[in-house]
Amino acid sequence: MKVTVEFSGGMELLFGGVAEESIEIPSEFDGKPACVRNLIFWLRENKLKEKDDLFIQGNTIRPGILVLINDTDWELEDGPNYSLQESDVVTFISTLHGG
Amino acid sequence: MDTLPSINKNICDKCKVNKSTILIRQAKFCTNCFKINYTNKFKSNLSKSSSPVIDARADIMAAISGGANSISLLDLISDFQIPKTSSHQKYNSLSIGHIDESTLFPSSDENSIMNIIKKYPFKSVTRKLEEVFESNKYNTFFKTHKRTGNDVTFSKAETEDLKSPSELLLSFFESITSPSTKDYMLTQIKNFLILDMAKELKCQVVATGDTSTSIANKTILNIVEGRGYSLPFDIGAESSQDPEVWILRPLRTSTKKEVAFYNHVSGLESCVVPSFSTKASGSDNSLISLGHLTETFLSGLDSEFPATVSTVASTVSKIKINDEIKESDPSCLLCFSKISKHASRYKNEVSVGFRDDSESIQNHADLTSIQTQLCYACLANVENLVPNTVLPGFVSQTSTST
Repeated sequence: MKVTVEFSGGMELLFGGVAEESIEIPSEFDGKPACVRNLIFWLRENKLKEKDDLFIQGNTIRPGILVLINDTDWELEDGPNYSLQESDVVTFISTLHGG
Repeated sequence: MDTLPSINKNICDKCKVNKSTILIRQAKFCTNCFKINYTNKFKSNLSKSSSPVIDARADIMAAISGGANSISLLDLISDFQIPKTSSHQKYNSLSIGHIDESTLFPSSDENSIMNIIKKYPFKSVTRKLEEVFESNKYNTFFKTHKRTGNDVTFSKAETEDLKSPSELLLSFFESITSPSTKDYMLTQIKNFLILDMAKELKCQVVATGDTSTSIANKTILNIVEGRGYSLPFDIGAESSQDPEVWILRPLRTSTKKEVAFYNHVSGLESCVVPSFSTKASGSDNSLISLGHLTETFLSGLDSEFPATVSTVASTVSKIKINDEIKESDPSCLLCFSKISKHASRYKNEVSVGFRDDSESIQNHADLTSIQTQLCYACLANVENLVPNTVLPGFVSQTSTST
């Protein structure tokens, strides 16, 4: 499945300065359709260049990072449980000072 | 009937027509209604002011770091100034003040920040952090001295021995042993430069990009640092600590989430403004400052209890200036806030102090006691500087010799 991820507000510093990237991820994880939580952990394994705790806390994203799915707040879209669709754009924006 | 709730589930609470795209404190907004709400709050905060100068159509300077908050501020405030004949124009003129931090943070992308600022048709001034160490601007410089008896003292630095301003800036921060004091000192230098730029531009009002999130963080941080006495000046809705410059915080009723969303949907480009805690992780104690810990704590709390930030910010906006504070009270040499007359005594009472009368200040004619010339928080932070550290030039400008 192809999705686009965007990083801004300092998030790009955690991903080697990349602000936008089109990535190919499995469409299923453990036999279930891929969700945003799967994408977050996939990014941690495959793209994250800094320490895990700057991106992830517990089993979700670190508080203070705004996640948008196709320009909509993920809190209105089932949050980490949102089932990803082909060509979705997922945006991560850090609202923490200095990235 | 059962299907009705699901149909309305993601409809904007305001217009009840469009699909909602952002959740703000349990209220759902579509992008259009969110933008209207965000802009109206800003406009109201910009207009509602008890400052006499604002009614007289003052000149305003927007303090722009290049980060998300200040770029949002610049975008919104410029709307009220362009076109110049607009009846909405609130101020005589709008200028932009920016501080170049690239000497301290080489990763700071100054070119991109300047490119953003240049897109706006306003006069702009840029100051470098190291300017506070320029010997052609300041006649004398203090340097820290080891405690003398019960007094915190400074000695005069010999100007001929001084290194270049950039080297002095770097060695100043290198000589600070605590990451929290590094943040604290950087804030004081930036505050000084912002006010100084405003005076140079002859602006009576400065608008800063403080959001309710940053105000809540600063509230907790300032209390922990011992800046309770000057809290109304540091984070109030507007403040007049400097008699010549009025500070306005028009984004104070919006959270950082709102700022980030507005910038995203408006296509506003901003830059990363590095700090000492940038990329500091929880396992990296040498970089963790009180400010960083406070932000982590509050953002964690706010994710569980979404009204935390707005409640703290709204509570603190009601704090009034202490009746004890008078215009004639002495101001702190470092942060220029009024000094509580109890600060020095309280500091001595709670400190693990020592009394060595043979080392009294009276025996050192070359030393200046600053025990009563610094506020409580500055006094505590100055003690985290190693002896013989040259201090920014503005510290020595208003001191009185002992």
